[in-house]
Amino acid sequence: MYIAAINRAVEWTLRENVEIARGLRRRDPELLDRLIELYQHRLLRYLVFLTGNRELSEDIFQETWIRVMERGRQYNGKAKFDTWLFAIARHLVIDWSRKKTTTSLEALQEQYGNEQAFDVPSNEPSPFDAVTCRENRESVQAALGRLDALHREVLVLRFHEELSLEEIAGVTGAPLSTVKSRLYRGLAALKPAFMEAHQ
Amino acid sequence: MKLFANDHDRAFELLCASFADSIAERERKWLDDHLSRCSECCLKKDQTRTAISALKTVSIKAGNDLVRSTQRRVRALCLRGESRRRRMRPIWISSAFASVWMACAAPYLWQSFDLTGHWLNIPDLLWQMGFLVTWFTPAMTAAAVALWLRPQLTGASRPPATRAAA
Repeated sequence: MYIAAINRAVEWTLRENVEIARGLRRRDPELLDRLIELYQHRLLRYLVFLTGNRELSEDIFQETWIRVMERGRQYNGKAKFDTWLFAIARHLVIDWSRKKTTTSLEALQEQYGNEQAFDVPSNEPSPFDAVTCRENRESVQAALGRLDALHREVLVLRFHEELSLEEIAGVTGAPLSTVKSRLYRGLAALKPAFMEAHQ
Repeated sequence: MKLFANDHDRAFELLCASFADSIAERERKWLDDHLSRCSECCLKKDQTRTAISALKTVSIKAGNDLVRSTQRRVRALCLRGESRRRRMRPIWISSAFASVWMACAAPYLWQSFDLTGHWLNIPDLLWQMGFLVTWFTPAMTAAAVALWLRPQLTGASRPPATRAAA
């Protein structure tokens, strides 16, 4: 019964991906509107984690959706839409960093990494936020500001977006072993930074 | 086989692996055994778990203005692309006709120019030039029309970026 439910969920996701692929091929504005609504927070969160800069993330957020519209034909519906979306966003961040003559994502840390980027007050605090210790949240925000972009990226993809390690490898274009090592190093760096900020 | 400087390093890597993914049963047993004996690693485990929980609480939300302006921009581009495609249709059709003409008419056109040239005693170079001009005319016309319409068809393709109101 459990396996049947999983199979049904997988089948439903596949069908949904195929529908998205069809809509993107037609450049269906209704579908794009719905996708923007659906992935708004996830995409922006990923971008803020990656760039460490809210304003820049908002610009890239818009560019990402334009790229999705322009390159929609390339999405075949076989992969999950969110991993494809994150990969596009990531390429745009890399393009942006190249334009700014930096050579890699690590360089973003020096330019834009700051603790305030993650300090984004939400208009409507979720029930989870309400019960979460504010001190903890501030500590993790400070800790994130100290991590480099590649480590923040895998941390958000794994623990916020709950992508599998294989999916993260797909988004980042890195081998699975590299993803694992970035994740372990990210956690290893997050813990002391968090504890230090917590004290 | 990965080498570790000591058991604590190995324990921490296994801890991270268990938080991020899953670990083999044998490794899980080793880790549990190590944690039961090492208070320092136990503390690290709790701290890492707390850090991950705190990480999950970071709330970053897109504002309504950003979403609306993105939707407007994408929609405008969709409509612009659609209207451009509609305007390009006559050019594609005329290009297709020109191509078909060039492919199908070449042997007949050559023969008729050849016959007419010899019948009227026109120098070879002259009737061959006439053939080329006639053969190329439809394609040249289509290309000229496309070039003439180009500024209207490929004008500013993107609406300007609009920053969401603060």
